[in-house]
Amino acid sequence: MSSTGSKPTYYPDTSLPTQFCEFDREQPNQLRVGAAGKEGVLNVTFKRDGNDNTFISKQYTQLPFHITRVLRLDDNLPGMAFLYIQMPTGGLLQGDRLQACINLEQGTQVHITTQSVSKVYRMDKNYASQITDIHVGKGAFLEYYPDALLLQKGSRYSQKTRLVVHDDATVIYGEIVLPGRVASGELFDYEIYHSDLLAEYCNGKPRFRESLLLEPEQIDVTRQGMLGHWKVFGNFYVINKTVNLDQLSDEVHDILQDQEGILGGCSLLPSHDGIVVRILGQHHRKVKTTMDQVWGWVRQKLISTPLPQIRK
Amino acid sequence: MHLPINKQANQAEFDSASFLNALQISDSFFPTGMVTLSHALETFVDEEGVNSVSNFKNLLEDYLRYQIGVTDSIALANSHKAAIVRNLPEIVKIDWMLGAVKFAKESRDSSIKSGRRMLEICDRLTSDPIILGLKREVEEGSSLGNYAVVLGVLSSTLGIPCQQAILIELYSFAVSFLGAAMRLGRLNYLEVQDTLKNVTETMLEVAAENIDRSISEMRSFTPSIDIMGMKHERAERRLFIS
Repeated sequence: MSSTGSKPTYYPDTSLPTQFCEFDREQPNQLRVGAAGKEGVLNVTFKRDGNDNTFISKQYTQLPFHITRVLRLDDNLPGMAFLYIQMPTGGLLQGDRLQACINLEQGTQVHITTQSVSKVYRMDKNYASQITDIHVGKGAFLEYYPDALLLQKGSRYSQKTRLVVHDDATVIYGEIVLPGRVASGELFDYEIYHSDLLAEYCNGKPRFRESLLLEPEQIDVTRQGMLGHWKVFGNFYVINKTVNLDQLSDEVHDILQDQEGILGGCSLLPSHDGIVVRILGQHHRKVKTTMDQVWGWVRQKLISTPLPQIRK
Repeated sequence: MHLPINKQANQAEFDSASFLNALQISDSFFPTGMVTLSHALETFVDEEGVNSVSNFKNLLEDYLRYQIGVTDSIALANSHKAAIVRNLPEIVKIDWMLGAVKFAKESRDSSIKSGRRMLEICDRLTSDPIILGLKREVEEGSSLGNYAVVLGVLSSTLGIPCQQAILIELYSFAVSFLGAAMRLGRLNYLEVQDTLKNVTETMLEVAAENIDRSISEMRSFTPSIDIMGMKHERAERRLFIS
């Protein structure tokens, strides 16, 4: 296994919302931006060997990022690489700057998740950010399904994710965002949350872009057109052009209508080569189990295998 | 080929002829098909029992501020500016980026349908090469033809300033939305006029906030509106296309 110190390629549009430029004027009282342990780097390339096993051919990590070795957790897909991204710091702190570059070469099968909920802690100086760049090569299969993002009271967080996906590749991407530590009385008490997910074709044309900026104190996110009376939101995307997508979209939509305690819907992606799912709920657990159910259905349709047991 | 900058779409020169152009393209008489749309309002009424005048007003404001304004209006403003400097490749790029942020199929399809209707008629209104260029790109499948983008380019060639063009878009949307509320039997013709009047401040603010934003600043968070659109896609009984 070789290692490389090269930095990931940056998202092409490096401009953050102006609020973050303001935060950047102040350094944390603790470790400065860019100090050891504050500038996380994760650089991983997956390859397929002659036995159809996906393995890590290159890796470089820098704290607070840490990764496990590849695990084999799916008996139906014995060659699939399961990778847990870990953070020994337990969450994101002010001044943290994380960059991840994940590269799936031809024919690889990869599942990426985290060990637990990603916590973003309270901040009074600066902010935390993560830039993720994912390339999915020809015939590759990626499941990117981290645990929920927990935005604690007073947190400021920006994440930009770019997915470059080959026409003959499959991506399943799920994310859930929590309104705070609800049991401790937190509810939309974070200061700012910015997320910009851009999925592209290899030639740079956009497939879809999910970009949002939430400042609950400035704009009430429980307005009827936004979350309404719901608290947790989740998005789930599938990119794949081999199955009948109109049918898959209808089936997934029906699964969501049968659920109590959530509001959900499914439609075709703007690029018409995949589906998008939106789920709103009151509780993390319900949104998560619903999303798992959708994931299971999609997995069965796409690769005829049920959900693997993912240990957490 | 370097073409001269179109000086017509200048704020100071918004003359009476351009005003008439603005009236023509914003009138529901103009065949964009917007009267057939409810923008998922039909499902909101069915599922969430939207009923009162204030509820319709608040929901309309959500659409204007948090969906149309921060996506379509930004695309419109940038297309308008790109049309003035004759940058067709930029217009095509904006058109794709706008399509990429529309997550409910019906809202995406109706935006494209309205835009293409407008393109069909555009050569009766102007012979400006930039709008004809966009029409050709759409016919060849190289551009989508979203309503906001076509409206931005067309209004620029008709001498309608950018801010007024955004207001045309917001106003047309509000009329389409309230028209649906009326035909769903939830608002009467006076309540509709009141509501239209009561959102003028919002429309002016939305136009001012978004006119100088770049395409990368298109950010929207309206999951409930999106989900209602997805539900409307499968509704068994429905009066409207979206």
